[in-house]
Amino acid sequence: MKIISYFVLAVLLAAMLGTALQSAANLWAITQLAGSVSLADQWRTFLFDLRHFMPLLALIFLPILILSVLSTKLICRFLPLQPLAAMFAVTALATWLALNLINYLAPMPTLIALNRSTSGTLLLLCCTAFAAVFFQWMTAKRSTR
Amino acid sequence: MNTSIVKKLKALQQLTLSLTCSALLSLPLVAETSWRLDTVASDLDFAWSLAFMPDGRFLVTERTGQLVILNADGSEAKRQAAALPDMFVAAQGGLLDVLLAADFDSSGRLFLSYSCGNLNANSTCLASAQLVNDELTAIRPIFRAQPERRGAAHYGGRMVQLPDETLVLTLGDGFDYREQAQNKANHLGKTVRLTVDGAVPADNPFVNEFGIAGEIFTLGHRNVQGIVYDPQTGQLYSHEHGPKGGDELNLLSAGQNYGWPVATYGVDYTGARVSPYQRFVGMQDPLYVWTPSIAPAGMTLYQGELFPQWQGNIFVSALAGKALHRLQLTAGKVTAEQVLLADLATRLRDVRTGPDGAIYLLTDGAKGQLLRLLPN
Repeated sequence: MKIISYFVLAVLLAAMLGTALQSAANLWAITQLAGSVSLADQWRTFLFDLRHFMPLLALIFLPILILSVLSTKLICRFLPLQPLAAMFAVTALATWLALNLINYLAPMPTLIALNRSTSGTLLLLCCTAFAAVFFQWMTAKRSTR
Repeated sequence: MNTSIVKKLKALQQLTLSLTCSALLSLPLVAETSWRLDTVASDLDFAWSLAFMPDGRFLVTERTGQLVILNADGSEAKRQAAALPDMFVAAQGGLLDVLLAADFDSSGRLFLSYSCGNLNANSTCLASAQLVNDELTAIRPIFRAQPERRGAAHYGGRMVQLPDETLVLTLGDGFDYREQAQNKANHLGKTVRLTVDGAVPADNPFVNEFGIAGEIFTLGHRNVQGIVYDPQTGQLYSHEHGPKGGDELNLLSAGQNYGWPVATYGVDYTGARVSPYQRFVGMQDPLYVWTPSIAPAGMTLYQGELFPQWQGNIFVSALAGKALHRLQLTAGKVTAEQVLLADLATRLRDVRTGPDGAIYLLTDGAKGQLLRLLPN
């Protein structure tokens, strides 16, 4: 049960990180076009995104993290890899593949605005990868107790 | 009969007369809901735009690349692949608008907008051509929006010719390049005004300004899918797709900024907020906003004779909204909206007023239709 709780926490962590980055990227773009955005507007935007964007991001990240965690566990059984590094790499790769698949299937060229640039895409990959590392670290720590 | 009774009878007579007159005058309002819809033609392959030829026939573009001439009875007279240079057909791209030149009667000249390039580098292009014996000849590219972009979305592509014969062509932001709609150095997210040969008119708003594309007429647009000129008032209306919500009807004015993506009533498809602002200083507010989105595509300003009660109304066909929206304007403001043809439950790509005063519609899809709305 605790493993599931840690997993849910990891998904939420990834989605929240991604949301914060998406809000920041959008606000940065508007700042470049129209000058500084007030702190109140920044907060309102972030809170809005938490309510309206984060659920979708969590829904996208959920299957990515399930597959990544299971794949990494399987790979680490047969290969002498450092589990945290393997978790990071596999999840980042899975996220990149998933984003490409989503963009291929979606009617628009790019579904998630952050995914439009290389730097934004790397940040998205980091969100899920760090969340997977968090999960691995928490569950590994538990099993050594 | 005493005089007071006579007076009362006369008053009653006048009242009856005025009530009868009122009832007669209100008839057009009752008749407003009375129309019929005829199918003129079927089996059109993603029909995109419609023009009326002087001989009563129709010219229809299919996004998949064909130019179709239909006889007045809707039968197919000619179907030809429009041999436009570098045409790129994918997703939202392909053959887009067709516009007969003001002197089409004598010159046979017309204009075609289309997407050009390939999936990794494409744009909106404009070509002029001549229709001679129903054949498209003398095709000449006259404009290519810069820069090229990846993906096959948001081309704009609607056109109108102004009384000074210049063309206004609408463009899109290329979807992934929304911030460029505010960049005056390129054509993404702009409308451009050109001469019939594609040159920059000397009185364009940013002509000869360093670092600014001289073709720009207005900026700050997302994906302009409808434009119409009102010859009576000299006003130019356009509409554009918002993201999730925030579709706009705008009154275009040379050199003005229409806000995208800084000022918008919509949010991203993912739910993320594109901008904290719905309005912004120095940027034009829309005349009207649709939230949730209807995906407007095509527009006509009704000045025909068959529907006198609809004189001066703007009609907007909707893709996602699957209906025809009638907008009533008073003193430059939208004062009423009526949603028509919702029972069709069909994506409507274009709407035009025919020379006969009927309203013509193109439905979207692989089995598209040309429909005619007539008074019942």
